[in-house]
Amino acid sequence: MASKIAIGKPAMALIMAAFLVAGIVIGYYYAVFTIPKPTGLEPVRIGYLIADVHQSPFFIAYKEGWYQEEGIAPVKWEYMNGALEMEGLIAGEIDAGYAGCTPVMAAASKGAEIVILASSNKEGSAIVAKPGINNVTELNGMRVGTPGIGTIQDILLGMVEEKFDITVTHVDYTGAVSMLPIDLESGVIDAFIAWEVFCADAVVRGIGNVIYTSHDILPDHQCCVLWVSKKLYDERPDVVKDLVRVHVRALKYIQENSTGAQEIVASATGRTLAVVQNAWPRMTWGYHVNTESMITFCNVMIATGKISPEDVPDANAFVMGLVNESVLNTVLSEMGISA
Amino acid sequence: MIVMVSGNEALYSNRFKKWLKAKQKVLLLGTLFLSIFLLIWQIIAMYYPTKFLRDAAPIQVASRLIELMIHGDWEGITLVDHTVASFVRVLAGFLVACISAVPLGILMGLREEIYGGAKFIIEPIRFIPPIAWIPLVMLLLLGFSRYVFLIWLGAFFPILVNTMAGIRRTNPTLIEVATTFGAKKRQIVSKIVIPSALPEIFAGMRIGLGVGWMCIVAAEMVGGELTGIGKLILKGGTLLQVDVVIAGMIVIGLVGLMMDWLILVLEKRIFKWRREIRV
Repeated sequence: MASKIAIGKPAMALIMAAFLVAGIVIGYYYAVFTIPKPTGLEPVRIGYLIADVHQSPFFIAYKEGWYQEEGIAPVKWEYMNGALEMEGLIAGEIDAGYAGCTPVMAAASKGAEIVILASSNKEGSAIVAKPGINNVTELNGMRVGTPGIGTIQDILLGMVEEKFDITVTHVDYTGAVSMLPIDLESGVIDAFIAWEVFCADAVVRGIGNVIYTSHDILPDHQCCVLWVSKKLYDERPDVVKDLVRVHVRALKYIQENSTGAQEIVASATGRTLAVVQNAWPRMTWGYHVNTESMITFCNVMIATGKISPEDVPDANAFVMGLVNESVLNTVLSEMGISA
Repeated sequence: MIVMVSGNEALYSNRFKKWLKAKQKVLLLGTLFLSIFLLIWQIIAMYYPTKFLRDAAPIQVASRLIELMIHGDWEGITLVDHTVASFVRVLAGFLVACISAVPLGILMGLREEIYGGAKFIIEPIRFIPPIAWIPLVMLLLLGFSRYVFLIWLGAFFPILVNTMAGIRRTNPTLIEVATTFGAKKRQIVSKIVIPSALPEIFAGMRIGLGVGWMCIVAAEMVGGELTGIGKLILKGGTLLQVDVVIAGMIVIGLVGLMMDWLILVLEKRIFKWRREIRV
C-alpha cells in the first residue's frame, strides 16, 4: 500500500517542472512588461481618476502628445477615487496627478507631502432628480444619494438644505458613485448629487433631470486640481514647470476649442460624445485655484470629522500653505497669457 | 508510408467516434443547459426594468468580447493584455501561496504544538477578507507585490488548512507497519505521511486557485496600473458599461477553469492510482 501511494521521482520532477515554468512566466512578464524602457525623456508617473471628465486637461495633453513635446514621458496610473490616488502618492507610486481638492486636503492634513499647482476644473457637480421633481424644495424629506460624507458634493447638498430650509436624508455611496444613476432609476433614491459625468449620464439615459447645479450653490467653486509631490517640487523644479506648461496648453485648448476638446475627452474616457456634450456646460476651466471655496470645504471637513482640528487648526493657513501658484504664474507670463 | 498514415487516421477516427459516443449525453445536456442559460440571460436583458441592462444581452456581450480582443478598450488595451496581466498576477500569488502554505501546513500537521501556538494569529487572519486589507496594502507595498500579496492572502489559507488536514488524516496502520519494519521518523514522513496527504494538498490548491481568482478584482482595485481583468471590470462599472463587466467576468471564469483543469491534469498524472480523479 505504501509503495502504491508514494510518489516517485518522475512525479516529483513534474511538480518541480510546473513550478519552474510558472516562475519563468512570471519573471519574463515582470521583466518585459513592468519595467519601463528608457525613452530619453523624463519619466513622470501621473495619477488620475478613471474616465473622469473633470480631468480633461490630462486626457487632452496625453492624447495630443504634449507631455513628450515638453520632454516628459508620462506614465499613466489610474485610480478608482481620489482617496486611493492619495494613497498612491503616500506609497511613492506616483509623482503628480489630478484629483478633487477634498481628497488632496484630507491627505495633506495627515502629512502627505503635496503641492497644488493649478486648477483643473471648477464647478461640475449637479443635483439630478427623478422625473416629476423639478425644484430643489420638492426634495424636502426625500432620500438623496451622495458620493460620501465630507465629499464636495455632500458639502454642497448641506448648503442647499441650509439655503432652502429643507431636510433631506443623505444616502452615502462611498466608493460606488456609479451606482447613483442605477439606484435613481430603480427608486432606491429620489435624487442624487454627484460630479460629472454621472449627472449627464443619467440625463442622457432619460433617468432624471438636473434641477440644481453646483454653480447655483457655490459659484466658481474649486473641484479638481493639478498636484505634484513635494519631493518632485523641491528636487525637480524644471520638470514641475514642464508639467504646468503642458497643463496650461491643455486648458487653453479647452477654452479655445471646446468642440475638439469634447471629442478628444469622449474618445479618451470611453464616454459617449452625447454624455460629454451634456456635461460640458456645467464645468468651467480656469488656471487659478479658488482658495476661498477650498477654505469653505476645509472647514466643513473639519466640522464633519473628515479632517482633525488637531491636524488643521487654521483652515485658512492650511489651504494657503497647500496651494502654490508661483510656477503657474511664471508659465502664464512666459506664454503671454493673462488670467 | 501512405498506408501507415491512413491506418493512423482510421485509428484516430475510430477513437473520436468512440469518444463522441461516450460523451454524447454529456454534450447534449451541456448544449441544452447552455441554451437555457443564454435564453434566461437574453430575457433578463430584454425585459428587466432597468435601462442599464439593455447592452448586456448575450449577443452584445459576445460582440463586445470580440471588439475588446481586436481593438481593445478605449485606451487601446486589448483583452489579451488584460488577461495576461491578471493571469501572471494570480499565478504569482498562487505560487507564493503554495510555497508558503504547503511546508507550513506539513509542519503544523506534524507538530500540534506549533499549530497551537500559531493559531491565535493564523485563525483570526483567515476570516479577514482580502478587500479589508486594501488600504493597508496600498501603504505597505508597491506595484506587483500588492497583487501578489492579496491573491496570496486568498489562496494561502485553503492550501494551509487542507495540507494540515491531509497530514493528520494519514492512516495510522501505515505508520505502524512502517515503524514495525524499522522505518525512521524522517522516512515515515517523506514516504508515507506527505504522499498520503498529497491528494488533499492538491484539493486545497484547487480551492486556493479559485479564491485567488476571486480576489483579483479586489487586488486590481488597489494599484494604478491600467491592465488587468479586474481593472477592466471596474472601468466598465464606472462607465456603466455592463457588457464590458460581463465580458471581463466571462474571461475570469474561463481562465480560472483552464488553470483548474491544468491542476487536475497534473493531479491525474501524479496520482494514477486514484480512480476518483477525472479530468
